[in-house]
Amino acid sequence: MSLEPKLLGFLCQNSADLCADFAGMERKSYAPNFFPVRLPCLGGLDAFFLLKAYFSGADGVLVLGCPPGHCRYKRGNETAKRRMQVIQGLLEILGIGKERLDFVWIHPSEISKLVEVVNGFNERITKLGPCGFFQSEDQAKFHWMTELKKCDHCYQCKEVCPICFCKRCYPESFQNFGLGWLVHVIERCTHCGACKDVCPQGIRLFEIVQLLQQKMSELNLLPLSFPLPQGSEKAGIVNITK
Amino acid sequence: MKIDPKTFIKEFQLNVCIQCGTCTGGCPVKFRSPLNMRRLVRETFFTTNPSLLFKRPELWACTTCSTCSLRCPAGVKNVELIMGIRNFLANQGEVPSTIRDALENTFLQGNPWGRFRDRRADWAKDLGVKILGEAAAETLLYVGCAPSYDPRVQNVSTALVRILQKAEVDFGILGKKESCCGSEIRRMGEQALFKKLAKDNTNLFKKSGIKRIITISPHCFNAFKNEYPDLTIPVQHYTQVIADLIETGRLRISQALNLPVTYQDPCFLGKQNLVFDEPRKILTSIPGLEFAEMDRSKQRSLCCEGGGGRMWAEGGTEGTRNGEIRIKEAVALGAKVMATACPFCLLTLEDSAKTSSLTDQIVVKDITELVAEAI
Amino acid sequence: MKKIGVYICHCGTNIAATVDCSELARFAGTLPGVKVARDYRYLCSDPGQDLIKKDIRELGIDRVVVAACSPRMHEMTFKNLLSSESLNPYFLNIANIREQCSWVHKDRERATEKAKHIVHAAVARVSRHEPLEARKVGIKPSTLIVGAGIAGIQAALNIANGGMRVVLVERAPYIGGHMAQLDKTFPTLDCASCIFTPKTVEVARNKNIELFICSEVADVKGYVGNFTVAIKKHPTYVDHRRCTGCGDCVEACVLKRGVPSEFEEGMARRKAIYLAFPQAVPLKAVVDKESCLFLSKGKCKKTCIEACKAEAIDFDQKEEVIEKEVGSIIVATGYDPFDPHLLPQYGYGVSDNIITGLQFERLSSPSGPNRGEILLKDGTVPKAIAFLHCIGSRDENAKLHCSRICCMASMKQAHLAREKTGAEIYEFYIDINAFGKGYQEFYKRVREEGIYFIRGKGSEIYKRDGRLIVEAEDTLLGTPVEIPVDLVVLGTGLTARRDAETVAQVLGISQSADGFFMEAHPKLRPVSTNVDGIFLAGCCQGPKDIPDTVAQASAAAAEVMSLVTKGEIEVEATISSIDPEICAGCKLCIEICPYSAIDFLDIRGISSVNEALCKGCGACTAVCPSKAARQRHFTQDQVLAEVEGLLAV
Repeated sequence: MSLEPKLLGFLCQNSADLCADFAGMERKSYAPNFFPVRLPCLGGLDAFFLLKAYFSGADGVLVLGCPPGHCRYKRGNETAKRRMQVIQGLLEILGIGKERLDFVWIHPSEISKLVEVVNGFNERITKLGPCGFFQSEDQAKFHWMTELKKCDHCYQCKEVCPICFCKRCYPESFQNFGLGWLVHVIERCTHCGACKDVCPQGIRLFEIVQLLQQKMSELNLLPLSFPLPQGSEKAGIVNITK
Repeated sequence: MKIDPKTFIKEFQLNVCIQCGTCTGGCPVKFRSPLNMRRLVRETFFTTNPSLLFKRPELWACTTCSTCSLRCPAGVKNVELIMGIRNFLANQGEVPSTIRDALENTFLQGNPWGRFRDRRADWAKDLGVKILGEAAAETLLYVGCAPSYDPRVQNVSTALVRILQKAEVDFGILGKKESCCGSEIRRMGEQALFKKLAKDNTNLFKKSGIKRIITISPHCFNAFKNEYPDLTIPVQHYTQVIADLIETGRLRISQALNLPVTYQDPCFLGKQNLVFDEPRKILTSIPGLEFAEMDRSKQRSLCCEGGGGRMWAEGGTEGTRNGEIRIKEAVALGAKVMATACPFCLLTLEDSAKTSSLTDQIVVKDITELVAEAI
Repeated sequence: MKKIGVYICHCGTNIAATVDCSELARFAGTLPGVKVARDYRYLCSDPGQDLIKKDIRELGIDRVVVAACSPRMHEMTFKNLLSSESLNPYFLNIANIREQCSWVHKDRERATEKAKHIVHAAVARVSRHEPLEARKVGIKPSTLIVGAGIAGIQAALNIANGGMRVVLVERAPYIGGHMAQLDKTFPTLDCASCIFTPKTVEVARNKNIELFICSEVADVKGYVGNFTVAIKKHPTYVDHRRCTGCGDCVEACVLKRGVPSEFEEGMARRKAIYLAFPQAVPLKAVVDKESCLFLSKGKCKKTCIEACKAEAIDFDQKEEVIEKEVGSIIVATGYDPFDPHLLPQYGYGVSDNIITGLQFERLSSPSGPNRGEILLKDGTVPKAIAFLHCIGSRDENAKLHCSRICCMASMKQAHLAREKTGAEIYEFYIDINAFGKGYQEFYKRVREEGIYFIRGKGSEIYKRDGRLIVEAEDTLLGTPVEIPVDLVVLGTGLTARRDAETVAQVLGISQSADGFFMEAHPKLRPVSTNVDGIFLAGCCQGPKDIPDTVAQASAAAAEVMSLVTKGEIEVEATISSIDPEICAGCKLCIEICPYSAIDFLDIRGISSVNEALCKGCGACTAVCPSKAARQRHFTQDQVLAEVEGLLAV
């Protein structure tokens, strides 16, 4: 008896996780292949947690948190929503598909809704079938990932990028540097094109960033304004504020 | 045929009933027949012999006004239970003979009165109305059986045609191709025939290329809007259309009608579909018309007993008819005209005015007839 | 070398009936870093805890996974256990295999499989836990109580008489809430005003209570022990230090007809300047700026100012916002009655003499519009009165909940009406909810008085021949009835206040499905909320009668006083910190922090978390590009380990 498809849940402590406990107290029933992770607030839900989920074999990720206006930490839920939308765009491009990531508002008292949402998501992902993201060699479906997999961590792209200012590069520790670095620069890319021909493996970073920014503008997601740190050595760079 | 009562319990949510009696309390025929909705729910729940339970004449007294279902605090599907029982009886062939005739007629001639299908559009032949199929139009005026064949109600159809023509609305009728909407058929228990009518009518509407349907009867309105599974074309009752035409200035009400008028909210238009304001807007826009509201109006309007197949039922009720109570209420209010927006209300109330001998004090008119006089 | 101990709790049969605990323990024993894995019937019991303590002492276990009920139940228990064995309590991880596993999945194989995933993740996570020191915060000794009905008043008195300070904020111009509107109360028939006036007077006199009327709580910042609240004082246009409550201004007000009085539930009218009612505390005039001709239209002779000998009227008064620092908050905002306009079958608002329960209280009250006489709109005495139960309650078309007190209220009103008018009285009911002390006895008394009880919910009210007809069915006889009466009293239910959602958002508390504020646990923590330091009292948490309201208010007061007495409380150590070596000074964290808890250190060009203000939401850690910002106990490492652990078993 397997627990397939694998559904990972990110539940915020104050609403969804509490609601899940209530569902247990009322002996409701939902799909056992749903694995919840508790976070204090969805505002702390990092894009990397989501990517890690798909890399580790999740077929679908369900994010549940407080409705607008009810976040105990003011805006965490709305920050998270925006982040989800960007990641959904990325999932589309990567071939995973945005239906495999869902984001639902839930009050702690909405027990029936929780059960419905989890079971409904399970049905949806079951119909879509296993994600097979990192394991699959399906070049046609995951062609961007196939390209990104070629990354051998030479960091040339990072070196030439004018907006890369971190003292420690976090994506270096991620399974796939290309993908991790992509998630990082997505909002801030100035389209300078310096990364275009610099990758020795021929990964078309410039293109994929453009694609993702286009997806974001389709969703009316303007890039966040990005101040550059003072004393940054990479001078002459314009802030993106729209 | 043995039926498992458990199917009834599940389908109509009988197990949530708390036996509060709101259904029976609000039933328009509670004093006119032994029908007791609350007791029926409990008996159906516990019965071991449903066939015997359901062979009761009072089950045919229900007018399907739906007050019971609408008010039930527990969520029991009361009126649906009645329809389910009637369906069971119809499948056994155990329906009253007049009902059986009405059902057969509809199957054969497309209307419960058994009038000839080919003569359905005769009432319109000199009115210069487009027939869809021969000409195209944006809007379908779905006439209905009573407005097509009953001479009293044909006046309503004629009046509405005049109004729509005056307002330059682009409409057509289906003519001979029109068949019964099936609303009363479903309520008399013939689910299978209703499904067939729904399917055929939906296809016919889709093929005719129209973008909107207007109905004369609230029963047809309710069926198309809420009970036809595959119909996506927007449906309106004519009161909604006329109210809009008046508001947007496309229909000018120029003549005064100096009359005190009251209005009967039809169950299928009012309490079931919440269309209360439009008929009132129309009436109050007629100059000289003094509109008086009966106490039992809107959600409390008293059912005229025309629905639920009652038009084709013989007897089964006793005592003062609701129609007569209504006429007397209207007269007591000082009204000289009882306005209606439903062919069944029109027919039953007019008949009640006669049987109460109050025809010298009040007339029953459809809203279309009043508007037609005022434009 | 980490030594992890994994303990699987059977929780009697709660977990063991669905999850194979010994198999789970066996599986846990195979995981990397796990030195011992056991299963036991009740880990939270003394012998259960001793089991763990023994392993810590004898096997040198230094990290503990407890797979059992929700951490909300026993995280504290096991954290204390670790502390008592000199282990840092944050080396504990609770795996929820009850509420989120055994209780929600029916298939034993799959539930056990899932439990394995959960334990696998818990072990992976705990091996990355770091030792943390719990923060202690001080508790400011004063309390904010929102709402001065009987609940707020009771709590305020308990706390103030205990020597602690109270800030009591009330929206209306008087204190007493709905109880002030009642005539006699069930089952003893005490007059409401008589029994609570001693309390209201004490509130006004008590030096430890600072009362704000015509005020609302606009904003709440901070956390348990240290809340900063902003109180908005609406202008009353009367200087309450000068006003003597003489009422001359009211006499003089030019508004002839006035507007419907809120206190009288619309049964009487009041002027633009008014005194709430004769025994109001405080007895001060207030001006309603919407009906006042001068304030709304600028056109008035201001005869009120002329008439006021104390020169108290001041049309220049402005709204004030006052900030207070308190340690705890009690929410006692009460209820709103159900609006019967929403159920048109009862003709409320269409015909005269169809009134709500509260409106009847005003009619019956000696201070009401008819001086306590039950009269119809035309001034005559009704010969027959109907009381309809469950209006707006227990109804799929209105509210699902039972409003608990209306059966008793209806019967009390029936008794009063009978006494005053001798009328025929009909109670239309579905069930009789006479649950409290003396309530069944009262029900018997009312039956003995000859009041008719008809078991059938009132279905409709309509007018016929000058009388009101109640349509229902006598379900016990099985016959439909139409009873003509002169007066209908609708037993309207209690609902959450219309602005409950806004109040919940301001405070950060949640609402239950029925709209009332949610308690932390329905049975064991009825006055706490999910926000530490904020408590509930009275009908804002759910419908209840006066004895239960007073009891709950005292319970909330006890919780508050317990906090204050202790003087300090431990709060989560799971706040954020920023590694100064890694931080590049991009300030993204500063922008996103909802509490402005991050400062920028100009000289070093980096950001730094102000630990006193940080609430541990994690927003900064998610947004930091280099992960210089990390949230303790929810680091990247730890969460990623949990994610991986759940999926890749």
